[in-house]
Amino acid sequence: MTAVAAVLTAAPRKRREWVYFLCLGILAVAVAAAVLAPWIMPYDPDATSFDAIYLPPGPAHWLGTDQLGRDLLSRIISGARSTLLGSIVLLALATALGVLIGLTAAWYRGWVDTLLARITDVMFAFPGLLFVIMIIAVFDSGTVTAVIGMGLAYAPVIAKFTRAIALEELARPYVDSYRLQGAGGLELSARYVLPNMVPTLLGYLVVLFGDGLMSLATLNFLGFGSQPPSSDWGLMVEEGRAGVIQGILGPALVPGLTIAIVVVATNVVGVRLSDKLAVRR
Amino acid sequence: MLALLRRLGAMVLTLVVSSFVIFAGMYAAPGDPLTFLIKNPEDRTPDRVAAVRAEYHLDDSFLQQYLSWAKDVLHGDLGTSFVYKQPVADLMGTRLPITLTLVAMAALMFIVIGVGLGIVSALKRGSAVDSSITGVTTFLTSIPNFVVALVLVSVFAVQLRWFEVSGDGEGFAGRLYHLTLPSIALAIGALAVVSRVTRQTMVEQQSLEHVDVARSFGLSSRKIIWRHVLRNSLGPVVTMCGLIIASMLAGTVVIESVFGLSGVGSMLVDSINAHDFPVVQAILLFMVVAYMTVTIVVDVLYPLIDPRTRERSEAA
Amino acid sequence: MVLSIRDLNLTVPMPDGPRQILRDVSLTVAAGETVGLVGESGSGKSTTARAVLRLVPSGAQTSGTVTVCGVEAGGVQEIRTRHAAMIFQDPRSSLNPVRRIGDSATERLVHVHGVSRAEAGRRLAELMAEAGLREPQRLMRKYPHQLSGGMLQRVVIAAALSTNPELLLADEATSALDVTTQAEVLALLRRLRRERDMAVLFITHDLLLAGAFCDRVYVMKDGSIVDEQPGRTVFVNPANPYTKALAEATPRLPERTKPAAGHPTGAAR
Repeated sequence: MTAVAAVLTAAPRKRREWVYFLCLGILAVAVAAAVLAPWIMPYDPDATSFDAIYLPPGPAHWLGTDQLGRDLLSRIISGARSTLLGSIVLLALATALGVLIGLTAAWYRGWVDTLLARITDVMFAFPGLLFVIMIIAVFDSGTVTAVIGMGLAYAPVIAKFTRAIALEELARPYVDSYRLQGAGGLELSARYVLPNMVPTLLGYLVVLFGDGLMSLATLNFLGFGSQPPSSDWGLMVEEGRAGVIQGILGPALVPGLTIAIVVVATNVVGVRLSDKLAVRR
Repeated sequence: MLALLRRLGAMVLTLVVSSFVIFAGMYAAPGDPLTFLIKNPEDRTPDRVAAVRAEYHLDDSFLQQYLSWAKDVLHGDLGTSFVYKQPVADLMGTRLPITLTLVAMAALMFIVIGVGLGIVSALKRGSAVDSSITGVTTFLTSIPNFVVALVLVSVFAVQLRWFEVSGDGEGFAGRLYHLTLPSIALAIGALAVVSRVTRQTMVEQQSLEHVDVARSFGLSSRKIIWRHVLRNSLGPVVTMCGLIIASMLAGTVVIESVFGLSGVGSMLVDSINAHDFPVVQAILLFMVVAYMTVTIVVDVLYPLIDPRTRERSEAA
Repeated sequence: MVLSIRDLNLTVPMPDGPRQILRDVSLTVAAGETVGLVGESGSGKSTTARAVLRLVPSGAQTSGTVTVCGVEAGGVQEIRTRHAAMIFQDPRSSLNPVRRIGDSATERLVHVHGVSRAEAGRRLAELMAEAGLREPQRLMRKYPHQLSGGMLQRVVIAAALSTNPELLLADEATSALDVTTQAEVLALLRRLRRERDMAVLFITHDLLLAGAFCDRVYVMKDGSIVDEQPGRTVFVNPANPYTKALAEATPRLPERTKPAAGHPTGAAR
């Protein structure tokens, strides 16, 4: 997760337009694949065929097949669904929790802030992945556990970020005038503070989405998240491992590169968004 | 001095809470430990069951179990593995050197190469070299480490046969040889971040006035870079390297799995799958402690590097 | 003539096209003379001073000649190391914050002129004492954040003098200091200049200060020199309308204070 912060702060100013649009396009394709999956997949992603094991890319199977003869293209497309959905839910959970904690800490200050800071400190003491692994150890492997666990792991990161922006926002004069008029914390936050925070938060969240995707994929790779026959991309890489040793790279590299490309795209778009949106401040 | 003690106090508190959370987690995990401890159902005689329950303190209250575990840990007893029936401390002892060597090798790599690339990119700012280093490093940050690991295995182990596909290696040289590919895999993601932060810090430092002042009295470019830019960039760079090393522990879990190394990371994965809770507890606790140790070391080092963060001694 | 600038032009590349910062700037400073260079922010006065030491923005195009003690622009290294020294506005940012003051202040002697650390330390301590600092040895072991702005500026001055320059460039050297310290530092500069017969180019936005401190004053506006006056008369009879405007813009106390009705002043008692 430190990579995210470093990417955001060290982004070079000059950005060629076409790179940005290319990445936007990549993300659009990924989302489209996820949404339209059932209708655009050439084959059933779970259909095994022992005649078609480890086929290289060809006219019948554009990306080849895996160790069970399943078409890789179809698996990637259907995997887009579970991978992207998992990442979005993860992010939504982390954001909801993180923003709530961050805003509460920023609004109440004092002991509430200190208490929340201590709690998030404890969470930061665990490298995120380990925290989720612990949750997995307790509640057993599974997609839902993995996503919820990751969401919890990312919440402190968002909370810290939210708190910082919220503090800045709450220091503005208009907040005091509303406070004097008796406006409550919740109302103020929802109607004024939050909308002002959204631009800055948005860019950050997009980059965090990519980071979360990678973390979730790692979890799935280790076998702690989605289970077979899911075609989640991280899981696909794990299943492709055996092939790599035998010299067949397709089943592992195809999902691996897909993850990489999508994450790069989210990084570029996210950084560009935060540059663009931050200018208005 | 006082600030350091306070920091240490906060760390101890965090450690205690973390250990509590870890222990509570394992305690709450579903599944009766007895099923792992006495594999054979026929052995589950009342006497045997009672003996095992006594041995593993399974009848004590939660708090009692936590406190006795904590006490044992402080005495160096990390419990006994459900699966191997051996002291966890021994099991970890055999596997720890591999993990530590792996992290050390990866750290050496990412620091030397990462900081080096960052310096080159900062000195040649705006040039093609700079753009390509930045571009390549951005791309590398986005590739999951397990993918990188697999690519390395496929290219260097399977195709080129320069390295073995898996295994720890024997003896010092053998160990280093076997750990080369894994440490590269572990270092690559970190490389990108370090090089960017180094570049960024150096560029910022170069624009400060004392650099202009040094140029104004004729100090050579090389000395300016060494005495003003690099020296001043040390703080943030060291902090970043520390943070990366601390988080590398999580990375070892993946890398050890891919390369079949018998280190602490892969033991964590195995023990989770086997529901070997004492081992899981011990490893998680170890990782938390290790993470904190690294952060404390960085905190202690920082004032030595940047005198502005030292305690306010007598003012002039 | 210690410093002679003739028809200096400087153009800087900007994202929206090249911008000319300096336009045909010409000025001279003789040995023992204090010459002021006054102007508003953005008038180019700092840029002119930096140009003397060739501290120009990267990619800048220059034309014209800058001669220091007979050495032209080509001998930049010689000018920087032997003939000229510059003092900047904020002494806190002039010194490397992570190194001890003694280390930073002897940097030019040790790392450019090859003087031994011990010898350089000795010379610096002498100069620091000359600059009015007590216990120089103790101060040299401190870090910049531990000293006040006034003391730091004295250290900077001492360091600048350690190479015995014939020309001192003071770029808003007292602007960041409080009034009392400002007066002390100016008195110091005056004394040192007299003792060493140095030429001083004093850059400031404060016309009043320049008039009081300098023998001659050049006024700059938008990158060109628009007026040149002897110091004492710059306020008395500014012929140039811009100089006049600058003079009038300086807040001054009125001749007599009339107490407002109902408000007692000390004078009324």
